[in-house]
Amino acid sequence: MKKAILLGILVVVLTPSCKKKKENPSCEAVEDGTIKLNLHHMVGPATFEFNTDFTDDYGNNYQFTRADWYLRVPGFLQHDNVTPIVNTNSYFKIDPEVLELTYGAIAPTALHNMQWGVGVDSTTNHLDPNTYVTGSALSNQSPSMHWGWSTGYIFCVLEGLVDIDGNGSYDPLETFALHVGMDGNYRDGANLHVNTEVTDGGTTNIHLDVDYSSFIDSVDLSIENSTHTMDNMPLAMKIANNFNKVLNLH
Amino acid sequence: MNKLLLGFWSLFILSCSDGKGLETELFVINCFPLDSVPANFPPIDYPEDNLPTKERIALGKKMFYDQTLSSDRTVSCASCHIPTRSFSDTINVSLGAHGREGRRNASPLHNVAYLPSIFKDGGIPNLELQIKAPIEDHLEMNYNMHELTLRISNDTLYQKWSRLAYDRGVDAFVITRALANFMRTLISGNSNYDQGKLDSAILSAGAKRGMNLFYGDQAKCYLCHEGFNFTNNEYMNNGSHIVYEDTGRARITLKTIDHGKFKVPSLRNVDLTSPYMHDGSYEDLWSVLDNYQKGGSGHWNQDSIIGKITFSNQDKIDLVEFLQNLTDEKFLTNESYVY
Repeated sequence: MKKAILLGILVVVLTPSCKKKKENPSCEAVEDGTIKLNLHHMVGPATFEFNTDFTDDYGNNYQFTRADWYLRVPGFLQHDNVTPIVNTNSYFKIDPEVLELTYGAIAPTALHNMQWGVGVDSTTNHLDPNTYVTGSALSNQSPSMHWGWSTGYIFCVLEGLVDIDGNGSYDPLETFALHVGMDGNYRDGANLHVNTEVTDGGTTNIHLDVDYSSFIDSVDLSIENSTHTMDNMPLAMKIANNFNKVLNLH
Repeated sequence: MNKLLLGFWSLFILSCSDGKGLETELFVINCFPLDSVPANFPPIDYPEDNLPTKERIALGKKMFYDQTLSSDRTVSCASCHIPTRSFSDTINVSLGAHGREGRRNASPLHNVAYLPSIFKDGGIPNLELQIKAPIEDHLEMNYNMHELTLRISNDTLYQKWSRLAYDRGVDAFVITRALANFMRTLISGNSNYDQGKLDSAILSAGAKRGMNLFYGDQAKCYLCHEGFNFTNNEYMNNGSHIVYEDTGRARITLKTIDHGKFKVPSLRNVDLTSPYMHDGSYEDLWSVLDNYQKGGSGHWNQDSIIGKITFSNQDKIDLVEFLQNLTDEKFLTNESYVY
């Protein structure tokens, strides 16, 4: 009986010490590895910068003053693009100041295809942002990323100046404000073939390019420069249809 | 669920009956007079995460009157929702922070606890979610919920009350829940009309004739303004306009069939909630009745229920007199609602 009790105590004492291999190399247990998403913010081939001239597809010069959007990462899939490796339905609020995101920690495994989308899925979109912990992507943001008069998040907010008359300067009313939301405008991107590994206790970095010019592919900012979605649904849908081009492997 | 809530209310009434148990600053907040909830009103369906307590109501009341909630600290909820006007405003569209004009006429807040959706277009499903809208609308309080949380986090009184009410510091959850909690106490159901059900002598002969018109086949007002709160809570185009710059319900649904539709308003305290319609473009009850008398504007999406009504001048006088008897003086002057 005493031996059994002693054995039990030993099991209890030793088991926690095996949780971390680094602390006790003789243990066989493995540590979770961390997945990080490293973002490279671009405008076409150029590095993204605020208050810097870029040119849209129609030759209009423009500058970004705000570029916020929601990245959804439902999870990672096996080679077959069907079998889940990890499934978290994670959200990240992205702006050009965000260079690194921590996706989370998972047990060592091979990673193949990363699922992603721009916006918020139709279920999450109607939940109450006031219930999230301050600082989480879906909590209240400043500036706001949520409609007030209707439930739902603003999937992307692109604002800036555009030289509408082509006179070489940005006059007071020469602005653009592209706010896209609503369930129907959520878009999944094509899965990214990341083909990497999460190692025992290691950090796996996945480098991604965010191309802000892709948001406005085929958009003529001199005339298509304002949507708050409801008031200009055609333009909102046009931008939403560009969402799947925004994110690429670096 | 409803029985459970009624039981909860009973306990709450008892705990509030003598004001004892409230600590320090909470003493200055009068308990909501729960005995004013009319027996013929249905039970309120409270959200599980925001059941009423005296601390929550007190906190929400303090916030309701606090101009700190607006970016320039000039506007509170009560600025546009005036208690003596059944928590509506006196002008077409209210003035927000920096004096900006709003888009729609401020709705009265009596009996909002019973609304299945919020706003004239029903864009928001519940009071807790609604709170964020006026705070962040640049034409109203022009602020930001995240920034507001940071601002009032420095207020030790708010922190104290918040912990008493919700067992957590002030955050967006507390702000939205407390305000919604207070707003659910704004129950109005003690008008002459209500008392007249028990004692018909309370209503004048004119008001009785008006009531017969209201519920009769001639005017059929009751078809839309039905039930204990005088609304069917549906969205209808009543032909108040020939052109709707504000498309109403269609703004939410994006459906053409909803063009110009707005939620049928409650008629309780209606005599004090002028001006009327979504944009406040109807100055008084007479102009509203005139519109119904002529059968509406004939807008292409006008509801078929709106047709010409044959009114004599006396009919209109009687109808207005009946509507004036929907005023609940005790509600309008209830000190428990005033901070």
